[in-house]
Amino acid sequence: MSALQPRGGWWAGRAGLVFPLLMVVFATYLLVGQLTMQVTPDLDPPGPRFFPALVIAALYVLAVVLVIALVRTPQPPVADVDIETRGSVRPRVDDGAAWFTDWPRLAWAVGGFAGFILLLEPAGWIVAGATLFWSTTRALDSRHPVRDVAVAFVFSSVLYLVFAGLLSVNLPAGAIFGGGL
Amino acid sequence: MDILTNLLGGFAGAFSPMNLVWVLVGCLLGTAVGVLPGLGSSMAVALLLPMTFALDPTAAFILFAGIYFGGLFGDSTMAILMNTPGSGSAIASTFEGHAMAKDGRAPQALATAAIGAFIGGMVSSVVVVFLAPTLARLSTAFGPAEYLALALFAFVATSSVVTDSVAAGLASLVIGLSLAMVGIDSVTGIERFTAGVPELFDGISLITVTVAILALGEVFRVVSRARSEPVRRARPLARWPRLSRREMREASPAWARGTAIGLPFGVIPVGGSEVPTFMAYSLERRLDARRASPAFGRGAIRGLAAPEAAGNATTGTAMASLLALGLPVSSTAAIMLAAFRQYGIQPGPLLFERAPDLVWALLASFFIAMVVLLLLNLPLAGLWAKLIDIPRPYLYAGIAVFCALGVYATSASTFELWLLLGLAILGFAMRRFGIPLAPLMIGMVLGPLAETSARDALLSSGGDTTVFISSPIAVAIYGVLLVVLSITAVGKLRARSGRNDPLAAVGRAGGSHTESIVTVKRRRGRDKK
Repeated sequence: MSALQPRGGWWAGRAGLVFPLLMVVFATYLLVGQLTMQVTPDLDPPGPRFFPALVIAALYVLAVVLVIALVRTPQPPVADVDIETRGSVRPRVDDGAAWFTDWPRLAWAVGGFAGFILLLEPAGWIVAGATLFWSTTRALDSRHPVRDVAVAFVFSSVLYLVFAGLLSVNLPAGAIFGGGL
Repeated sequence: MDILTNLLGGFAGAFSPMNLVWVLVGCLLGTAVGVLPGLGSSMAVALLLPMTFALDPTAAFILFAGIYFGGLFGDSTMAILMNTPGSGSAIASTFEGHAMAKDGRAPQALATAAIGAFIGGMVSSVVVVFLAPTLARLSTAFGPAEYLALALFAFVATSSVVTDSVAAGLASLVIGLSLAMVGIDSVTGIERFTAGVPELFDGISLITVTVAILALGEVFRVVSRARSEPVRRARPLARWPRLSRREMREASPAWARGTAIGLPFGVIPVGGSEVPTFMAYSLERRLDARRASPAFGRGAIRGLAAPEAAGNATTGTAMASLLALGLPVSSTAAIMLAAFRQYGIQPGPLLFERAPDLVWALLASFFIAMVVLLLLNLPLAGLWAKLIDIPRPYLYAGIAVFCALGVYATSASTFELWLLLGLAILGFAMRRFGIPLAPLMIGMVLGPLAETSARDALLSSGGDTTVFISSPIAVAIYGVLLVVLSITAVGKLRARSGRNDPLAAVGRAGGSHTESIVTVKRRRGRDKK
């Protein structure tokens, strides 16, 4: 790690503080739920609040521990191998930007998914699924926007035919085909 | 003899033409997802899980067995050809496996991996067949205190042994536990943390969490780095994977040793097959150092054979603890548990009595899946490698659509899709900030078991906390846990006390396998710079 020059001032390598913050927000949501829970008074201990109390306390404590660790030793973002379920080893590109999140691209992907959810029931699976496919290809920097539209519609239509048609999975038909197939 | 009769019955069930088709389809789909870059066997299972709900339970689980073992095969294929292991258990295979591929011996490496996986899987399936009913009988002696001990074991082991940072592992675990608390309390029927949203009364679906964290979160991660990471290409295969007789002789003892190391780990909840694969690798390394001409580092066939056999052996026996105890020891097993529950089947001691047809057909299909994979995938390995040539935007766009389809198909609610999106952003953040994902999955699955066990034990003892250590089985489990933790702590301290040559440390690892994991990971980290 010593080869890395800190860039972007104090926050370099400390963006991970967002994560303990998320934990605190979630723990506070749980705490509010804990305090407003409708518990019947005559329950034998340990009641429904017993286990959550431990978990909420652990969330706060671990958030503090993570903050202390990150303030003491910043972690420059590195795609590492140690996440059990993924574990992919990826090459590091030595142009600095490689370490940082590409926010505009990510916005395309997340926004596309949100758009899909909003479109799904009014417009139907085929349109919504194609929207999701197309926006994700945009997010991945595809260079052929027009060809992508065609691929997206073919893909979501094929899925619709297979899953709604053959396997009778309940997918919304939407306005196209007059609401049925 | 009971067991053999049952197993034959299982084969009779599994050998129906339709079920054979499902094994085949499962193996193909699992391998296909497993070989794709960045996607591993657990993602294959997560992504294809909702698709299996269109089938009857037996067919679905047979399909599942194929997907699972196919996915593992895909993981190691990519570990060898591209140095990108699809899951933690394939990391150890990259060291010598990829070295073999670079040396022009990719076909031999693939054959070594496939045969190793076959041997490990076959032996462990035999063990499962005989062990699972016994385990199930034994586990009828388990009460709340024992189940709590097992769950705590799984929690502590997954969040501290396999991960580099204990705090990050525990954070992931606790997030999993808290996600599992949402919904109606199973003991009292009181509504908890739902904020009055009716969709949350049944709790947060494990399927949504799995697809979000393992699949959609990975899509977001790939997107966030798409412009800065180059697309990788596999090396073309010169010929069909096969081994000469000399290579077989060379690899055979390593396959056997790997299998022996892997078998016991399936029933110990330490978070999947990562630990035994590294143990097998470092054992072969130490044996190799004693030989006249050490071959490690230049593509030693034994360094690949042993971890492959160990990984699949663990995977197989992990099924025993899942089926007999209802205890998932890896994230993939956790997803399978979710699948069982979706069908209203509760794995555990009673499963063998209540659903014998399903269990034995499932066990029989393990054997069939192994054979199919060996016969099918060796000739097709070159074809699988071509899958990587799918343009990356289409590949991940397709995965995103599949995530959405799967979750909507099982829930038919847009609320669930919003939840999926939110959790996927959480999964992305965890990847971005190096928080391990497996503890979250384990916490989500075993949290309710831990909670109800603790409360049942306390309720029946009238609040007396000594109930937790009053049973010899529970005390033994805590004892093993303490031993595992102290070995880990010693290993991590030794690794931290500045060794200049991490590779030598792997060789010296001695009794402490965890040290070798830590140092090997560090080495990988350095290699990449």
